[in-house]
Amino acid sequence: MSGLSLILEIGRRALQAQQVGIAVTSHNIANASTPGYSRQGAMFVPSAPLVTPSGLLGTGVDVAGIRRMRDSFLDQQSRDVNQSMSNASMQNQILTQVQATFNEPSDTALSGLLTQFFNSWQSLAVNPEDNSSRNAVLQSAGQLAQSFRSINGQLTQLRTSLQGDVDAKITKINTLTSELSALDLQITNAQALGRTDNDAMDQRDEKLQELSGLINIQVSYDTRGSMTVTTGGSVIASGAGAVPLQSSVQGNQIVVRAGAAGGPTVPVTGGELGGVLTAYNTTIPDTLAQLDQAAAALIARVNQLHRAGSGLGTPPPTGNAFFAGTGAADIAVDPAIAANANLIAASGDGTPGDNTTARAIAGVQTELLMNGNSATIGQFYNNLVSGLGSSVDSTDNQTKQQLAVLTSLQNQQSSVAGVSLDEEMTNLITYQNGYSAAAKVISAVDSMFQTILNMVSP
Amino acid sequence: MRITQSRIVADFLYNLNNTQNRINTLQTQLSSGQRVNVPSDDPEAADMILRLNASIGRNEQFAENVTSAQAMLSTTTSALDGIQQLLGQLKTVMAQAGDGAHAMSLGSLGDAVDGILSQAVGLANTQFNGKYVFGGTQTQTAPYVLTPNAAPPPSQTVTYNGNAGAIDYPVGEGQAQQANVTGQTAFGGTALFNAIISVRDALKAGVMPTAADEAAITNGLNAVLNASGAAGTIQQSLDATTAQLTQQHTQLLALRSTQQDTDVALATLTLTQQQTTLQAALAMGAKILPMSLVNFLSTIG
Repeated sequence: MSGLSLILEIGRRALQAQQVGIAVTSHNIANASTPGYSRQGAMFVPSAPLVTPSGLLGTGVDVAGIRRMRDSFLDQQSRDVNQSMSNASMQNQILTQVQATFNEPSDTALSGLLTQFFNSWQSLAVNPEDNSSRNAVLQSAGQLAQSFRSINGQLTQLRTSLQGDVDAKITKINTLTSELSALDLQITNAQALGRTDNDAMDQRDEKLQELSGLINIQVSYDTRGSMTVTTGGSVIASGAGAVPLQSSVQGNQIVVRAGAAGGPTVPVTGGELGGVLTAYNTTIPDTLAQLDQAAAALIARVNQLHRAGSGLGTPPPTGNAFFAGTGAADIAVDPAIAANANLIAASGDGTPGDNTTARAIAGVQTELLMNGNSATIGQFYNNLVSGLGSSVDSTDNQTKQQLAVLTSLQNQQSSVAGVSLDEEMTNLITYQNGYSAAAKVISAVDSMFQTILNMVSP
Repeated sequence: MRITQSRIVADFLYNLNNTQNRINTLQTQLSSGQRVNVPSDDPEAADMILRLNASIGRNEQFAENVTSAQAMLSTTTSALDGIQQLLGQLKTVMAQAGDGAHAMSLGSLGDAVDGILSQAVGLANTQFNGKYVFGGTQTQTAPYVLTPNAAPPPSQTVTYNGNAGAIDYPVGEGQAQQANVTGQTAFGGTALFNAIISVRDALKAGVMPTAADEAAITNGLNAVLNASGAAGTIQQSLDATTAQLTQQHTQLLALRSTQQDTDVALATLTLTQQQTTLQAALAMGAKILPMSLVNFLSTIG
């Protein structure tokens, strides 16, 4: 094949190639806003030349394939940043709720009620015989106890509700891993036939990114481009199939396992699931324990002093506990005292005007009862609250920092993989011009054929 | 670097969101007047605010206690002043008895002393806010009771039902101030009243009071004067305590304000800056975002 037919063939190939180019360009334009889409490019190569007496003669253009533009190293970094960002952000959300439970700083919150409680004992010390002072002690103690119980109740409730969150996130993870396995199989099958399924690869990257927001994952690829996703050493998704995660409550802690009930325990350290688990297994129980410690110390010390004191009456009632309960969950004013304010012990020696017990109980406010006798109950509680504040603040900062890094990584990826409409429009013009030019070549060859045909015809 | 439309949009939204977050924070600070609304706004300041709140609460309570102590003490001093006057009258009566030229019979002077005695006992049983002030910690029983004696003399006996118990009010960190004067201190228990009874009995019987009675009355008057003086001293020191507590209160409030309150001038200035930034960003977004090559290609090819 040589001569005019060859040129005609070159023209035909050029038309086809430009059409492929335009098709790829319009695919790019159509997907400019599709999340996770990587721009594609037609790879034009010169087709194999012909050996002619004049030398090697080019035979036009071939489309060698359609390539996906994406930096997989940036993807890996994005996943790493995403899992620590989601973790911090989830912890921040939960801690903000925990912090809100305490409603500090406010006069009506526990710290204010604690001050009021001790102040009411001072007022009682000033007027130990006075019924209204006694009722004021009952009222302030009742409010304080109620505040302890309410914070304890709300935190316990919050913690219980997190179980549902854990289940929802695990369901999402399991859906993603099974989708990922299916996509991976699709990609390797196409690969086996020598095809590159660019759009499936985009979807796989997108789902991996989504998965990294839920749980800490490691992704590796074999030579065929097939992925293996592991979390904490356990494989959860690969071309061979997905291994679903399961959660169960074991001794007050939520444990996540891979596969059936007897499967290996997965240490979840990242992603939203990691954040929820940290809150459920550590943060909230720690907060509850500290609140409980404060309540228990208050109950024990006040009761100890109160039992030694005497109330009003003949003979003066003594030996009564002031608070019932043992911790933040059940602290309450002793029912007998709540029913009879005269049982409140203000007196140390039984005389109605003595106030030594009332003063001693008011003095509990400044007694160093906590942290190995180094902090008052109030300081201990303040530390708890400001500690929560610090955690909210630091997780918020972490989230912001990681978001900035993630944004920068996504920007870098977008400079490689993102669709630029300007660029696509320019390419479109190029391909369109190429198409027109190739068509001109064909029409030139056509007119040359006509010339020859006219020569042979009479 | 290749810049794509999606990147421009993402960058724009990221920065816009940051600016709006800052504006939101500033608006919360300005509308609540507080820089620290939740502990996470500034954990260190939150800790400080909670401590200051407790200190302010205690300070206010101490101030109330001081006021109560003052009231208790002024009731006590006015009762003591009353008894002091009565003892003055008693001395006059005794002087009249000793004055031979005086027309009044000893018996009628004895009646006058009787009146003084019942008034003095009445004052010694003074109550403040439902408690007997001179009974020590036995505040619910009248400290002084006169009962007729079955086998005179004396014709009446007086009993002290109170005790020597001090009632201390908390008036500062680790500070307590005794706010009561007991009958033991002011009247030597029953000594003063026994002396008055003895004088009365003598006068009524038509005899002159003994020198021992006179000495007992003088001692009693001195004890009352001393007790009144001591109460006055405590009141003065409580005045100083009040001044101190008020000063502390002002300082604590100022300190809390520096930790908690919004610096309105600074916040307003920053808010204005952020608003300018927001306007610029929105104006820029409105101009740049819709632009691409597409807008300039009327027909292609």
